[in-house]
Amino acid sequence: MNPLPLCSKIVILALLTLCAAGAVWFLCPPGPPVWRMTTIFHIGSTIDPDAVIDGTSSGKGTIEQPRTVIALISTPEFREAVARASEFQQHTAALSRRLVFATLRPHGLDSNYEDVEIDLAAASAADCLAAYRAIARQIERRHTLLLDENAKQLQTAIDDYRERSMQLKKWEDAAIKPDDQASTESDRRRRDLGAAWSESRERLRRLEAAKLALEPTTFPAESEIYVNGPLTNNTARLSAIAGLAILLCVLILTLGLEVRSQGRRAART
Amino acid sequence: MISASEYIAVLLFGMSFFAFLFYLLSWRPVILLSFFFIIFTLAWRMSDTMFIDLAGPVYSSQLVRDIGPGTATIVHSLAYIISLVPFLYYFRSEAVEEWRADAKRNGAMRGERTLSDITFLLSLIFLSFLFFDLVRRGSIPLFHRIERFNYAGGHAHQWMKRYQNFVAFWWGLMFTAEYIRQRHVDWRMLALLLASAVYALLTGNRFSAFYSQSSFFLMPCAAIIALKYRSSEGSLLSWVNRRFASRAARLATAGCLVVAAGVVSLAIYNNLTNVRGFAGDEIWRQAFDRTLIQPSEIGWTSYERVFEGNQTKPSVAFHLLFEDPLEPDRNTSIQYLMLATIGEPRTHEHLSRGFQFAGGFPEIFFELFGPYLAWPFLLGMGCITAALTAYVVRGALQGNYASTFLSLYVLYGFYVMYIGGMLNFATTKTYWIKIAFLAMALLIEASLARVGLPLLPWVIFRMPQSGWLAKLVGPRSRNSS
Repeated sequence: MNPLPLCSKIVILALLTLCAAGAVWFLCPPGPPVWRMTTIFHIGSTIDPDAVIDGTSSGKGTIEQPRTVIALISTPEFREAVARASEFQQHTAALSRRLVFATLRPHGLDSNYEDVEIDLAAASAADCLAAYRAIARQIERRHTLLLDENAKQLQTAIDDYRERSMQLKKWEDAAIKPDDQASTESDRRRRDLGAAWSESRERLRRLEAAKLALEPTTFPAESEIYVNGPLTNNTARLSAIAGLAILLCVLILTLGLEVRSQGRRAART
Repeated sequence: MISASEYIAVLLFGMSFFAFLFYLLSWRPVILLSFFFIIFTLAWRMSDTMFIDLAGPVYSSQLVRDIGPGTATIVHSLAYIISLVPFLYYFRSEAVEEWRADAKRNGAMRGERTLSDITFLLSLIFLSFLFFDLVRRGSIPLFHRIERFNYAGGHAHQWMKRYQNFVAFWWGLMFTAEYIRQRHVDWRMLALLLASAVYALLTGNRFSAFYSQSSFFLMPCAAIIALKYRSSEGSLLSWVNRRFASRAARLATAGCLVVAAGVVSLAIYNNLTNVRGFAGDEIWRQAFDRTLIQPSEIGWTSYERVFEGNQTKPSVAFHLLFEDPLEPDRNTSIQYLMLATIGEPRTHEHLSRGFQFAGGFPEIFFELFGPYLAWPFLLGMGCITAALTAYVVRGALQGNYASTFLSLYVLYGFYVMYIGGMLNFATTKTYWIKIAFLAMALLIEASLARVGLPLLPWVIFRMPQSGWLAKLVGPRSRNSS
């Protein structure tokens, strides 16, 4: 079989690449543009009443562990629920539903333990915000329940200590009646009641102060969210053409090197 | 659904990759055989990507979502071709002709013991111990319904599991050397490969062990094709037709293929039904998922993220690949791709169980360098891989067995990259030590070649012509060329 001459090889390669580029250009029209949104929300705080009463720590924690929140958002069920609950624009709803389901990702942040980053893509900026609203609604609803429950526990502890300190106060008042005769036993009882009362007041004060630290999960206002787009979906087409260009260059270079080595060999012989 | 024009484009680009492979098979068989391990994987993935693109949406049980349809085939097909194109230069006819001219064809004299004799003896001892240990332990995974990764075995089993590809390669190299130097088919090496395959079957392996061992055995055999086949003699298929003209040869080849396919099918079926406990339709569902969806699902979702969703984050990818990976001692690329696809918690869950998804190439390049800059890097990797593969084939032909083996050792890192997208192989110190050893071996071999000496000699020692040892080994007639 006679090998093809070099120029024929180059022409064939160029034509093949041109055909491939044409195929990419004409057969793969750019898809609808997408918008991309990234934002960070803050997980609210709860108080552990027992820790506050013990005084061992401030008792402050997040409503839900960030890793639990991330796990929740990662589940296909949550993504499906968001894609369904989002009020997308009618003409882009189908694509946005698919994109939101496929691209919604939560990430933990090294810099701030209480924050979670979420990013997603949708078929329009409005759809990004619609998905964002749906996510915020779902997380807020879940966290409101947990926060309310924690607030109730805290309030129960406050009420308990308030009642307890009132009772102690009553007993203390009763113990220091003016007609009482002074004795060692009554002094000791008075001292004990006083100490118990002041301790209970202190715990009550701590609990009431801690109550102020309760905070709900907050999502940034929609006006603060930057939605990047439209990101044209020409990427695949342009990337493929870039790949084809490189392929053509390499093939021509290969032929060139082959010719050079043939020339050297011919010169040697 | 994708449009009709996109459908055509997917078919066109997918088929052009297969046409390219057909060209390699017909006219550049040395490339195909020497790089078969990766080419087979690429062809499989291409079929799967085409399936997802054309038949989608299809449900992926690992991702718990539908994937496809799309046009990922176009980009992946180009990426594969760009990775293979450098082989055309490194394996150009003139270069192969030069290697052929320098082929070491001097065999051993009567009574001389060669590297392949020593290999056979040591391998026989090792394999005998391996089988003995398997039987001694009393639990044979194939018969006791044990999953292959749950079977611990002994040290020999662990060693074999870890280095089986290198062992198979060395047997292939010795088989090639015997064919080139002694001009005969070394059935001993084929028997060793067969014994190793039987051991793999007994220890619960399904397909990958047979595929990888056979591929690594075949890799140095490309040197035989380089020696025997010339493109001027027509396509490989016609050459094979001429060589295997007899009915017996054809029947034997077909029989071997049927037996191999039957054994693999049996191993897979046994694993799915008896070991993993699937029944009825579930067996087919599992086999279908594993064959047609799982190899390309990560690649397809990455395409969706990078090309359709414009969600590339090169800095995050770099951070998770090289700076702060989830598990730095393993393939960090697939960890990142899993994390980006199924999220942190599920990725941690899978990795903690020692499980990871298939795929990684070429998607990790697009994730790391973006949709445009990835191309030169793909080409660069292809060039290095092609050069190392050329070293392997040239070394096998020229009898430079030390550098051939070390080339494979260095090349193995790139193999892992093509199979699982792994890029952090290059960041380990041991990898650079391997490179240093290869460079040293090449330099020493070049220096020794000037005085006509090899670094690793073919003839190891000469047997005495009389005495009990000679009687034990028996007469052996060999001709030197």
